[in-house]
Amino acid sequence: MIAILIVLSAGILVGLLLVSKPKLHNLNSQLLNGAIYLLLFLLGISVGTNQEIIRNLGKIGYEAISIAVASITGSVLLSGLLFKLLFKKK
Amino acid sequence: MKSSLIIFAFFLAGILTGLSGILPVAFDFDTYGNYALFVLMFLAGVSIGSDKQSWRVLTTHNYKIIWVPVTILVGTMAGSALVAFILPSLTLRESMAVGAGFGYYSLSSVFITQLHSHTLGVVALLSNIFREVATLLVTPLLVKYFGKLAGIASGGATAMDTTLPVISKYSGKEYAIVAVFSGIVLTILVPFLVTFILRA
Repeated sequence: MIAILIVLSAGILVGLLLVSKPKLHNLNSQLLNGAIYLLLFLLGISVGTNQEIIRNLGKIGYEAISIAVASITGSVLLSGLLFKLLFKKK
Repeated sequence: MKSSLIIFAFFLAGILTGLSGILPVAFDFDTYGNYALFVLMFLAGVSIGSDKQSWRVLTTHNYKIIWVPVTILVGTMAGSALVAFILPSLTLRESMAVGAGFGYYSLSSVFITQLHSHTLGVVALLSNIFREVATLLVTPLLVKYFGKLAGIASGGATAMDTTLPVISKYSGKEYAIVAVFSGIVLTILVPFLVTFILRA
């Protein structure tokens, strides 16, 4: 875990040096998008060749929706409280 | 919305390629996975560090605004933790790691795949895409019943970009800056939080 956080922090420091270099900044976001697309394509391949995941796709979808609905509900309810306490104009 | 379609198309194309059996040997994701994760972490770091807007927004002087991402963080973690108690197939770490994506499906699903398992990576991808799509659909209702922060809360990390238009439309333009601030803070938190939850 430490190695991952060091790499992430190193990236942030390098990013700080690039703040005034929009061209490199753009290149980085294209590289990041490309890396994400590639990795999701590869994730798709490993899912497609993984019988266990294909067989459990229904269960996976059910878990995914449950977590999303619970996350939204929890944060929306708390944000309603915060809104009443600090943001609502009386 | 457009970007989530592109992402999903890449993922789907991968599944179909895998299912079709045209690949000569079983593809070993994990061999390359760790290097890929480091590259991705580094690039994500650079994009956070080089974004002028994030630093400007983070030095805002309105203290109230800081409570928005804190509230969303606590609410999301509490909600996703509850799922682990209801669904026995998920552990507390697993459901909280998926929740900690805050709708940032691309990065969180790839991280979770590398740090945990392919199955949980797929759960994270679908769950966080669902969070974004649901926010786009129900923000008008949420704002009506739970106040003007509700769309920002529902959108999580996506409140800074993909769900910002709908939030700004239904909560008002003065809440757009709150949405961007909260979205940026949560986006920066995603890699740290997911790593912490799965590896601590």
